[in-house]
Amino acid sequence: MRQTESNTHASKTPQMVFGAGHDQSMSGLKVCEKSIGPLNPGTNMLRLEKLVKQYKTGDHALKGIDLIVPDGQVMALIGPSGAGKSTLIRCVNRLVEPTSGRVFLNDLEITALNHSQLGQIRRRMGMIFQEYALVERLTVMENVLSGRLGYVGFWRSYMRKFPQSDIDEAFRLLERVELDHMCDKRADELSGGQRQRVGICRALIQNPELLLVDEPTASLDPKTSRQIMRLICELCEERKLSAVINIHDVQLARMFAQRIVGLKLGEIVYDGTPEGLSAEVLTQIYGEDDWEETIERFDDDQVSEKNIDREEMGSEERKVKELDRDRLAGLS
Amino acid sequence: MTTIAIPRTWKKPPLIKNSYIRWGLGLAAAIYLTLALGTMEVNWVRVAGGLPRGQRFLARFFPPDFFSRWPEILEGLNESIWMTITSTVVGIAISIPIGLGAAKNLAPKPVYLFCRGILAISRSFQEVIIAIFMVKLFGFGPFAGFLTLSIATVGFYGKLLAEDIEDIDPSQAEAVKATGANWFQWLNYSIQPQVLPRMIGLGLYRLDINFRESAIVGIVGGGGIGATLNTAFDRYELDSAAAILLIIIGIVMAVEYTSGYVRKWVQ
Repeated sequence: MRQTESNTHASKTPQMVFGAGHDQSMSGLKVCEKSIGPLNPGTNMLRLEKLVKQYKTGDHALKGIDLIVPDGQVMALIGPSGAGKSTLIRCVNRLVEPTSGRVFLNDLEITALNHSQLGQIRRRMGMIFQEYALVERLTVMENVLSGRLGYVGFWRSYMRKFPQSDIDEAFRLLERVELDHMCDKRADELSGGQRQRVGICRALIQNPELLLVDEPTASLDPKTSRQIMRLICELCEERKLSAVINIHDVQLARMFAQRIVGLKLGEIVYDGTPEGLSAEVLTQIYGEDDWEETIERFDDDQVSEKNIDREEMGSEERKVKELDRDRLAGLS
Repeated sequence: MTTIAIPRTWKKPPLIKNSYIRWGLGLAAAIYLTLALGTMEVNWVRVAGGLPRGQRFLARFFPPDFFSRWPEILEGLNESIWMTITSTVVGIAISIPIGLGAAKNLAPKPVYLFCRGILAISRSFQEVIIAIFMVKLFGFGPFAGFLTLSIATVGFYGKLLAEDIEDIDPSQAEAVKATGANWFQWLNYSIQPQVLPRMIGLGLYRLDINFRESAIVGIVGGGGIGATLNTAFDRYELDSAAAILLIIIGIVMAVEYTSGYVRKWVQ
């Protein structure tokens, strides 16, 4: 955990990156103050180039997005409803076909792949959904193992005869989120927080390099929301994953993300640190309102968060897993 | 000067906006109905004469005679049950690929239209019409009945399967697709769990329908208990016919009860 803390801080400044052509799309907007040159391309987990999505109805959901997410970065995508957040992450694994533009995962062009190659690349991107999107009539274990479908053949998956290594990993992940005793429960018997933790396991058992997270906390209570966000960030840290997290809740985004990108009407209007998210920036993204309170409350929260972390640091002997158990105790 | 708030009125918007069309349709329906009822000829003398005759006819059903024609009844039942089970199984097996093809969210447009076409054709003919056709093609007997019921099952089950697939929760399907699953795995993990309980229930419901239809199909030469029933009527052995009707009612009720129980259990 302590390493988590220091890493987060260290990584906050040098990793704020803008994609090529950013200046064009940003012309006239003076929101982004911290522009830093592009990183070494080898360390870019995800790169979007002039990504455009126009729906059949004529709506321009994305208007030429350029974005680079470096290795190991947790990036929050904020913005009002209809800004194109969901479309953006769905264009990455092509659940939504982009109209034009290119998407690269580790310098492999996803937008150039054919149908069968697409399945191969989707395995490398874990996705976590709003409202969990678990298959409700399948058991917890089946839901988790469905994350391995890209790796096993049809008959194996049909007979539910997954390799022992997959089953071991499924139990390890379920144990990690405190749900191993629920493995034979049907998904619809679980509470919201539990379901989202199963959703996280399903994404992680894919052994992904990138997590695409779509409104993970939209249907959870405030406490569970924080626990889920904390879990996602911890797991990203443990496994050195990059993550793109769509999130409504500005405070949660500021608490957990290393970088915040603000989307408005299909365009990036902010790209920078959580601290840089001032009242003016929020007005820029969401429109005129009194944002001071949102920011103040966040600062209070941040202090209490740090206190919690300090308490945990006190007990040296405790294992990481036990800490998690404490943190997740309120979830079940 | 004080402004007086004028109360704003509100009325539920009508189903049909154009008031001429709205009233015109209502008027046309009323006129047609009056004319249709006016031209219906009812011979009340014959109705009066028919009622006591019907009473005598019904009286001959009692007491039902299960024993004098028992071997024939048993054979007919056997045929009917064979026909019911085989046609349900075969019909459902054929309707699964057609139903998948007829689901808008699964199949590309040409496949969708083709499969919907098959379903529309098999649904547009009543079982009796198909049965007459099949008897002419393959001769009297339960094979014609089996074919008839299979075709009818495809139309029924395929359509309901397609509609059930169109009603699934798309987010669950999307989530499984995002794992990199291939098409068959995606069907097996996201579509099948969502539709299976209802489809098991509908399969049992169809079994029940097919048994009842097997009696009708038999009357036009498709074999089974219907043929036995028809023979009983032709010979004026109405007490045996009553026994057959009671057996049909009993079996239908038993299947109905079991299918209700199983449906509750699979949910």
